[in-house]
Parts: sequence; C-alpha cells; structure tokens
Amino acid sequence: MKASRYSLRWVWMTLLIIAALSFFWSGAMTTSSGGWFSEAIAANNTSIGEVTTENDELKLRPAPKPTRADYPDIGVSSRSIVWVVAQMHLFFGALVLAVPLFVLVIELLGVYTGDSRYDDMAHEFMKISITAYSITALFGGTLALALFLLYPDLMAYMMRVFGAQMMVYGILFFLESMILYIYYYGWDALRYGNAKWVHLSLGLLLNGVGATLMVTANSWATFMMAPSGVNEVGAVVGNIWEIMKGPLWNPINLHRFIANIAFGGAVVGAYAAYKCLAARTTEARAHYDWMGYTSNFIAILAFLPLPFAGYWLMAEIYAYSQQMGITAMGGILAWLFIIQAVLIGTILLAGNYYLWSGMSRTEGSKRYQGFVKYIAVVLVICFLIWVTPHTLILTSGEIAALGGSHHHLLGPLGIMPAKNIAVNLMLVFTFMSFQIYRRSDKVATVSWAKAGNALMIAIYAVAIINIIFAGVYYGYFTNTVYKVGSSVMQVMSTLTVIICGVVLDAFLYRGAKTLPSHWGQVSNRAQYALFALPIAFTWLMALMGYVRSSVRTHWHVYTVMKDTSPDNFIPTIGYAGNMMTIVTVLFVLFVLFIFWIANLSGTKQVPAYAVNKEPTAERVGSVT
Amino acid sequence: MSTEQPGEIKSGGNVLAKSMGFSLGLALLFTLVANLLPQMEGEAPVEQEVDLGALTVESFAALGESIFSGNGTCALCHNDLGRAPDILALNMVETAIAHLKDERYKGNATDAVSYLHESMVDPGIYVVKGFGKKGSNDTISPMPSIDKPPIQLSEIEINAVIAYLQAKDGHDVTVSLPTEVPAVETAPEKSAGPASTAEEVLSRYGCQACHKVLGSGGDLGPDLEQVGKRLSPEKIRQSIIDPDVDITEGFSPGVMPQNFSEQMMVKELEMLVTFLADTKVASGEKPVELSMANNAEDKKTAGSEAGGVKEVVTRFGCQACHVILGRGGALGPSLENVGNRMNADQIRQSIVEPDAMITEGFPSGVMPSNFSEQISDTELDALVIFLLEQRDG
Repeated sequence: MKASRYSLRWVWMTLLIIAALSFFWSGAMTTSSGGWFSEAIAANNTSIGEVTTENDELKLRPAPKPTRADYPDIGVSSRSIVWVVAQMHLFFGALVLAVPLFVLVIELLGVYTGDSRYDDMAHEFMKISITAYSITALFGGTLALALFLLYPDLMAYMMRVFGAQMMVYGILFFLESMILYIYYYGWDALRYGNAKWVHLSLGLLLNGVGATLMVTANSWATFMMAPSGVNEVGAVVGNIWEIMKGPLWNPINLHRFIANIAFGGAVVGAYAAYKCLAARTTEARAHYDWMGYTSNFIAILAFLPLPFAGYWLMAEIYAYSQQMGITAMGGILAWLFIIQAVLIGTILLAGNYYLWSGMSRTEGSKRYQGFVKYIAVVLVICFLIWVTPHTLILTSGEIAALGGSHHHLLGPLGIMPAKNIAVNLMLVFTFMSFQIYRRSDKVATVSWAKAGNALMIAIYAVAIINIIFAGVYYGYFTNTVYKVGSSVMQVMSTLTVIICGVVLDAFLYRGAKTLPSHWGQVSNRAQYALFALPIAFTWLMALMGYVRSSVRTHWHVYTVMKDTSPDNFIPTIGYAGNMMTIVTVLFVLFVLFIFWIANLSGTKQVPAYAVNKEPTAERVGSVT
Repeated sequence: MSTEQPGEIKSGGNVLAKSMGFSLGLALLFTLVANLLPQMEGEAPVEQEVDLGALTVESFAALGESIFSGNGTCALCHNDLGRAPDILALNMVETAIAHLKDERYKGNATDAVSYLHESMVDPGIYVVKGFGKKGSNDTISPMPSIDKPPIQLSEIEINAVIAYLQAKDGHDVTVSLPTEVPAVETAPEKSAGPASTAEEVLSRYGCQACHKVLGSGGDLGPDLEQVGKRLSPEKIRQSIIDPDVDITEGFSPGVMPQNFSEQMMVKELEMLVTFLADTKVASGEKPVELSMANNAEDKKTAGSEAGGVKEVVTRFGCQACHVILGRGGALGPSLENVGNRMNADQIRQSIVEPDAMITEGFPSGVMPSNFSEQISDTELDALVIFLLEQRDG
C-alpha cells in the first residue's frame, strides 16, 4: 500500500518534469507557439521569399571564406590549444553528465531494497561529480574564449546560425548548476519518507536538464560535420530545429549518452580501486571493493552496446557522405582503428580479468573457474585478429621476405569480416564472464534449472556458429555488398545472447540459494584492472573524438565553410597519439585533484589535546 | 612502531605512486602503438594554377590524372575494393557507350564525353548495377556531385578528368580544352595517344629510374641493355605487365609497379617488347656507343645541351616514383609541395645522397643513389631551384 503510494508520487513527479522540459523546449524551439524565446528565435526561421529585415539579410549571407591571414597567429598552434581544452571539457562534461545518471538508479535501488549502503555509495559518487562540475565549467569557459579568440570567423558564423539557441544553452547551464547543488547538498536533508521522493525527482530533473544540455551542444558538433538548415553556400534557410536535427545528431546523441555512462563508471571505479588499495580497515576495503565492483558493472554493461551505437553512427555517416565514411574507415584515418582495437581490447581484457579475480570472493565460483582459461584464450585470439592490419607499408626487403604486400595467412585476417567476427566473439565471451560471475554466488532452485542451463548453452552455441558463419561465408565468398549486410546478423546474434542471458537468469535464479560472499577478499592486482579501464576509456574517447572531428578534413563546416588556417591538414598518427596522451595525463592529474578534494571534505583535524591523549600518531588526519 | 587495531589491515605500499605509474605506463603504451603505425599527413587540397597558355592535350590529361587521385578524391572509391566501379580497370569510353545504350539510362548525354561529364555532375542519372545506395535498388547514387562541395571541381578540372579517362586507354582526347586557350595552342605537339618510339615509351614510363637501358639508368632493377639475350619477347612482355611472376636473381619482388598493364597502351607495350627483344641483335654495335655514353663527362655535356628542367625530370624518370608536374607514381614522396618542407641544401642532398634523409613513411634504399654520377652540375642546380619553387600558398 505504502509502496504503491510512493510509486504514484514518483509517476506524478516524472510526468511533471517531462511536461516542464517539453514546455521549455516547445517555447524555445518553435515559432508558432510564441514561446519564451520566440522573438529571438524568429531570426532563425526566415525562409527565402519572406519579407526580410536587416537581421534576416544577415542570416541569408553565405558562410564566411576566411583567408589564412584572417586567423590570429599567437605563435602556438591554435588547433593544439583548442584540441586540449575541448577534450578536457568533454572528458569532464561526460563525467558530470554520466555520474548523476547511475547515481539516480543506485539511489532508487536503495529506496526499494531498504539497504542504506546504496544511498551512501550514491552520495559518495556525487561527491566526485560535484567537484568535476566546477572543472567542467572552467574548461567550458576557456574553450569558448579560445574559440572566439583563435577562430573568430567560424564562431561568428556559428553564432549567426544558432543564434538564441546558445542563450538557451546558457540558461540550461544555470538551471543544471542550481539543481545539482540542491541535489547534492540536500541529500541528507531529503533522505527519508516523502522528502526522499522529492530528492529523487530532483535527480530526475538534474538528468533531464543534463541530457538536454548534452544534445544541445552535440548539435553544434554535428552541424559542423553534416550541416542542415543552411543552403549550399551556408546561408541560413531553415529554422533552429531544422539546423539542429541533422542526419548525425541522434546517432551522436545516443553514442555519447551510452559512452558517458561507461566512462563515468570507469572513472568512479578507479576512485573505488584507489580507496580499496589504500584502505586501513577490512570494513573500508570491503566497502570500496563493492563500490569498485558496482562501478565496473556499470562501465562494462554500458560498454557492451556501445559498438552497436557506433555501427549506427558510422552507417549514418556513410549514408550522409560515402566520401566522409571512407575517409574515416578506409582513408588516411583508417589506421586509427588499429589503435581503437588495442584500446577496446585492453578494456575488455581488463574488465574480464577483474571479473575473474572477483570470483575469489565466493566459494561457489569454483564451479565456473574451469571456463576462465578457455574464455581467456578466445579473447586473446580475437584481440590479435582485431589488431592485425591489412595493408602494410613495407620496404622492398620486407616485401621479399613476406612474399607480397599481404601475408598469405595473416592478410585475410586484416579485413573487416575477420574483425567483425573477432569483436562480436569478444563481446559474447565478455558477457559469458559476466554471467558466470553473477551466477557464482547462487544456486538455482527452480525445477527447470537443468533445462534452463541447456537452453543458455544452446543460445551461446547457435550465436557463436552464426557469428563465425556469417563472417566467413559473406565476408570471403560473396561480394562487397553482402559483406556489410553480414555484420547485422552478427550484431543480432550478440544482442540475442545478452538479452536472453539477462532474461533467462532473472527467472532461473528467482528464489535461488545464495552462497556466502566476502567483499574485500580480492587480489590487489584486480584493482589495477580498474585503473586500466579509465585510462583506456579516456584515451579511446580522445581517439574517437579526433576521428569524428577529422572526417571533416579541411572544412570547418563540411561543404559549407573551408578551413584555411595553418592547421587545416590531418596530422600524423604519432602526433595525434602524443596529443591524446597529453590530454589523458592532464585528465588523470585533474581527477586526482578531485579525489583529493573529495577526501579532504571528509577529513577532520583532531584537536591538539586529543592528539596528546592518542597513543598513535597515525590517526591524525585520518579519513573519518 | 604502531600497533595494528582489530579490523585494521596494511595497505600495499605507496598506492598513489603505484597507481600513477601504472596509469602513465599504460598511456605511454598506447602512445607507442600510435607512433609505430605509418606516419602520414593528410594535406588539404591545393588549388592548382593551370598555365592555360602552355596547355597541351598531354598535360591536360596528366592534370586530369592528378585530379583523379588527388583533389577529385575519385580514387578513394573508384578502385579495386568494390566500393564503386573500378575506373582504372575499365575502358571508360567503351563503358560510357555501353551505358548510353542501356534502357535504364534516362539522361541527356549523346556521346562518351557528355556521358562522362553528366556522370560526374549528376551521378544519380544512371547508377551502375550493384553500386546504388543500399535499399535504393540502384536508383540513388552514393556519389556526390563533383562540381559541388566538398569536392567542387571546376569545369576545366572536370574536363581534364575526362581527358585522362579517354587518354588512359589510348582513345583520342576529344573533350574541349579550356576556351581561354588560343586555338593555335590547343594543337598539341605531343599527342596524349601512344608514344611514337620505344625511347619515348622508356622515357614516359620512367623505366630508366630503375633499369639501365640506352646507356643510362638506375640499378634497382635488372640491366636491360641486353635483355633480349636472356628473355624471349613473351617473357619480356610478362615481366612488364606482371613483374612479380618471374624475378631475376638478386632482385626483390614487389618493387616494380604492378600497374603498367593499366597505364601502358597496347601499341606502346608491343613497341617496347620488340625494342628490348632486339637488344640482342644490336648488342654487337651498342657497346661502343654505350661505352661512350657511359662516360660521365660526355653525359653531363649532353645533359646540359638538353636544357629545360622538365626534360631533366623526364630524362631521369623522376615521375616513375614521385608526383611532380601534376603526375607520377607513389613509390616516393610527392614533390608537388617539396619547397614547403625542404630547403635547397636538403633537396640537393636528397637527390645526390637519397638515403641520408628519408621522408617519414617511405623506405630507404629505393631511390637510385647514382644520380650524382649522371646529372651535370648545371642540371642539378636547375632541378634544385625548380623543386624549391614547388610550394603552395
């Protein structure tokens, strides 16, 4: 009865928030409704043939064509400056948008299970996010300054195109800040009873505004890649909605949304790993081990569907411009996907290793430990196939030694069909690790347990055969058109395993006998896997962001405004890699600062008189 | 000495230093991978200024070839990877005529030239079977209009590509040259059609960059002075069109370009085969002539008389490996903008001592190291100045 009343309130709150956001956007986005910003937005809505004002004429001007001399020269590469600052803003932006998302879920879990550990953990996650938020804003401001200073013509054009939408972004930012502070600082004040539902609603509102902020900013990036709402010469001919909803907007929105969760999970996982390694008590170690496990769970769970969102994005890029797609996948940027394979391989190997190590927490895991070595072998083989390059630049001596430009055995492993098999199998076997980990502390008690297990094994077998068959047959024995189509079959097989596995286990382990688990009983090496995840994720985000941006080649706004700056070339992979390491290391240093601040806020100095009474000096300044 | 409280555990040393060291090490490992991969820069297309007054059909077709693989980005899709029809493997004039006769064709073109033009500016009019956008049943082309951004070729550039597509298979170039060119200058001295002599074939395809023949050349490939003694005409023909099938002892496969069969016209190929096969006949007379020509001083004199940097480029077969003057191979770095990245001393050193400084992404030991013995000082100076002037902006 009580629960249903709470649920009703929750539904009402949710509807209210959705209605508020819809109202906000309907006012901002449409001209006919005469919303809050209708007058300002109207400037974006003029079509050719309407009576034009001075402002409209400005809109109908083509995109600027700056010459090299129009770019300010400050003695340092402008692109490098913007590269570093933009990437730092994106890293922290991703973190502060993702953390409240899973914090809300964990908080809700705490309400439903009545386990206060969930609530405490969610609060601790927010502690990290709150400091990161300020840093995000600082880098955002710096980025805006750098862009207006170093690329004045581009920014003038972007302002002309997006106009008042940028004001909406600013307002949303203020709104986000206010809700965030109330949500964090009101945690303990709104902890129980009806107040908790108010708090949860604030969390939902925070996420709603955060997601709106993200998709608003995404529209600027996707406009630069695939402009819409402007004509061939860049004159604004559509309304703001037509400008925003370009062909790549939603694929990027989805990809970033999922990737942010994986990234956020990985970063807070590193925090938990650090605290676990530094823990002085078994209780603290157990708490942070559990926190690390939860973070890894979030990161890997969000990571599994990410390649499919990536497929969609790349398919839309090809549909928009085959030339752009080939530049990314088959042109000068194609080698970057070898590094992507190394990074994703690292993530999957680290994630799996963490799960295998974590099986030591429960005695029931002995039933499954025999599988680990086989999973490891499959993962390593698939990883090696994934990183095998197809085309090599060789000296004549090397060509002679190899017997041609492609190795007769390894060459076929370098093309996409082989890589599609490898990546899908890696995902399937990672899910298998996850599934046996989840099962290791449970014994199914339902009457159909054996049949259920047999069904699961059959699903794995069919999916694996399908992935390999589709890759080999369509990849090597049919023409190119079918090669691409085969990946859909493979993706469906992988998704089927994941979905069936989750659903089947939910029923199979209903009312299952639970075996004892000992949090904290895990090797220190496993914690280092939790450091590997955020490093690889950060580097991967930098890499894929670079690819996404570079497919525009020598255009600021693709097909509309050329980049004539001194940096309008695609740098070498080595240079780009060095930049990615610089931003990754910078990010790690800033994250350390955040962790330190998060610890500092919970540290209390012990008065001098108390120190004199205390026999050991170690407790001075210890974390309470 | 501290006493451990119940429930207290020892943490594993300096956690901060260890975790930082691990994280940094991993980031550096990724950096290492990035630096081990081939290092290439993607330069923004440079708008070429065409000297209309000096335009010939041959140079117009050569311009078209450089646009095909350069600014036009045609080769990105039109290659042997199945993304789009493989234009280099197809006889495009014959293909165009065949497409015009297809009942699916709904355009306005009447001949090969107008068809090729139409297919570039409005590629959706006729979509080759199997190459349409997915799900469109070959009614929508994935190809962008090349007269619009991002490619945005000018009318002159589009016509140059058509000229190249005609010339590459030995057809007459019938596309009109830019109208600004006075009619008298459009009459080419040299046709873009087949070369008229075997010597011209050797020069056009830069054979002497790697092979010694007619008294000069590199040593990257086997000496061809008396190749007729060793090989039958059939074997010579095979060695040109499929060079890796039978490798002369002491030489590596994969070095000689594989695409001569696509570039060389049949008439040229046969002329070259006959010439090389005949070297055994002429061998009795040639040594005297060759021994004279091999005299470095004589050659240097001959070189200076030849005059003109473009002739130096042609004579030493630079275009066999480098893109220069709008055409050339990709075995060595493009020299189109070499003046942007090298000074005069570096250019000179790269010619006379090529392995002293290797451009990133290219192997050493490929460029012949004996140019200093073959080129006169005057020619070298002129070549260095010419290359130094090859810059954009």
